[in-house]
Amino acid sequence: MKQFINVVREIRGTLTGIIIFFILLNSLLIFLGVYLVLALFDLYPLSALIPSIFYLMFTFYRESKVNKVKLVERYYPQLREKLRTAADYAGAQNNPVVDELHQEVMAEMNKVAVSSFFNQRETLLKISVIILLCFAIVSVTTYGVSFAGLKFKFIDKINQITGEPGDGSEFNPLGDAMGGKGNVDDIYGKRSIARLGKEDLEVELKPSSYEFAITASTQQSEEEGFTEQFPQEVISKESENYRDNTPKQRDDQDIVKRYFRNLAEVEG
Amino acid sequence: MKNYKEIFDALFKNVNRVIVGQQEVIEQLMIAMLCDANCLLEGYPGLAKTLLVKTVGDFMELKFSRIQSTPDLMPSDITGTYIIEENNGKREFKFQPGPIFANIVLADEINRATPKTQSALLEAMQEKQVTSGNSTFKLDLPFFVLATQNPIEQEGTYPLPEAQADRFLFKIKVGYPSAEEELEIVNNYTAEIVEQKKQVILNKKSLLALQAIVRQIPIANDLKQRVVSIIMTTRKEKSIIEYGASPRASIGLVLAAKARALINGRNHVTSEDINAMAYPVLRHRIILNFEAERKGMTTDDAIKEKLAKVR
Repeated sequence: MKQFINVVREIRGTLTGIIIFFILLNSLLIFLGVYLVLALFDLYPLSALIPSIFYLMFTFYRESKVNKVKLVERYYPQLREKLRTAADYAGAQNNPVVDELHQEVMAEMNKVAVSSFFNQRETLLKISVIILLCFAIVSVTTYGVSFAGLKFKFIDKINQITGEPGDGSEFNPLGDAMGGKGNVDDIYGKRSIARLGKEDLEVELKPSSYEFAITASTQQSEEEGFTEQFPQEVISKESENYRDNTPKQRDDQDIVKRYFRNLAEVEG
Repeated sequence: MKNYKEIFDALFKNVNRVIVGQQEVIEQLMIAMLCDANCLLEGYPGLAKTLLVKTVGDFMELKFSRIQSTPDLMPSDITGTYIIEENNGKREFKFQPGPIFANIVLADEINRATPKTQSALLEAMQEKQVTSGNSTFKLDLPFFVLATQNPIEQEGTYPLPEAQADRFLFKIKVGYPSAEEELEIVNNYTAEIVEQKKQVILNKKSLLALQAIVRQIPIANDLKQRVVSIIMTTRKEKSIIEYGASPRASIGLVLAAKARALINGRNHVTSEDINAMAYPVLRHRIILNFEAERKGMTTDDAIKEKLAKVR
């Protein structure tokens, strides 16, 4: 009887060890994979611990619930329902039928090889991938390979497709070096960049609709050395025209830009 | 365990010399006997139900008696009664045992007997004893009641109430033989009558020992859990079943599965045993609702559905 209890204990111990090994291997794989990706995109690489620890805990919890005896039965169909019955009656005494079952199961357990629970090919593959990932991480960190630019280009591309504003300012943690939208030349989205005479004009150009509005001119401005006539379209023809006629809209923008540049030069 | 299988194989082989086909019926009958339980056999007339029971009794050296149920059959006709006997000029009451005092009692067409007479069998089936007047008499063990029912000609019959039907472990359906089997039956019973030499394969003592062994056969906890789930499903899911099975069905199913394992020479119960035994155990214990009957479902269909659901 004790002999069979030891057999059941051995089954559970061995299989738990194998399961833990595979969970650790997978967790390491996840950690290294995520670490590499984060390193490539100049993000905090130790964040890779979060998914790997989450995986480790979740899988360990799930696997601890798995009946190890049934796991053996899955690999050895001839032990199906026999092994679990014998395990359930491991402590039974004075039952000749159960004793016979234990003897039978123990004889069949001799044919059960621990290696059958190891998928050698899969294990080797995983270990190889881990080694490759380690090399990749070392290379990336040594040579400073970074795909951070790719990330922002990708985001801009997505914005172009979806028609999002694509301001870019919020995606620009690395400063102007990245180029793209949000450059200093860009006048969109900035307020009070113009002065008309002595008055500041609250002008805001909205790139989303290419409309602009002069919202506050507190008093009649005094003309100071204007040589050009202020374009009528800017005041009278508003967003409706812009929507209908795109080339004209661009011309209007150029006029406005030119106007404010001239103005700035005069002021300067 | 393999030795037990050999015994049962020999028994089946010998019974099959008299009864052609009906393998499943013979097996279920044997299982009921190993479980020390009673059986309800349902089948059309002329399917050798009586002969089957008698043959099994003969091969097991068991005392067999037959009661033909009729509407005027009285309980005392079954249990026995006190008669006045004169002994040395002195008159005294003496108990005259009825046909119930046997090892195998075949109550033929039980649904033709009145409820009062049907219930006279209850005490014998459940308690293995008979009370007549102020005295209680123990029945000789092993004791089985095998009742037959005719599914046709229901007029003037008294169908067994659910409470009484529940006391039978199995409801065994006796079907018609196949064409080949029927030809063999015709050949066997139209040729010259040869007296068969009766060989006792199992005696009373061995049968009682086997009944004890059946209870020692182990069953895995998850299989026991499955049995309970199957029975619970019949009670809880009301889509096709009006009334589900009682806890007696859970006990019966586990016990029957153990007996089936023994007959097949196994020292443990498998899911296959549970699936096979679910039909005879549950057939008479569940009542289908109107929706199921409208769809033309039988109790066996309902059991099949429940077995597929609880895996």
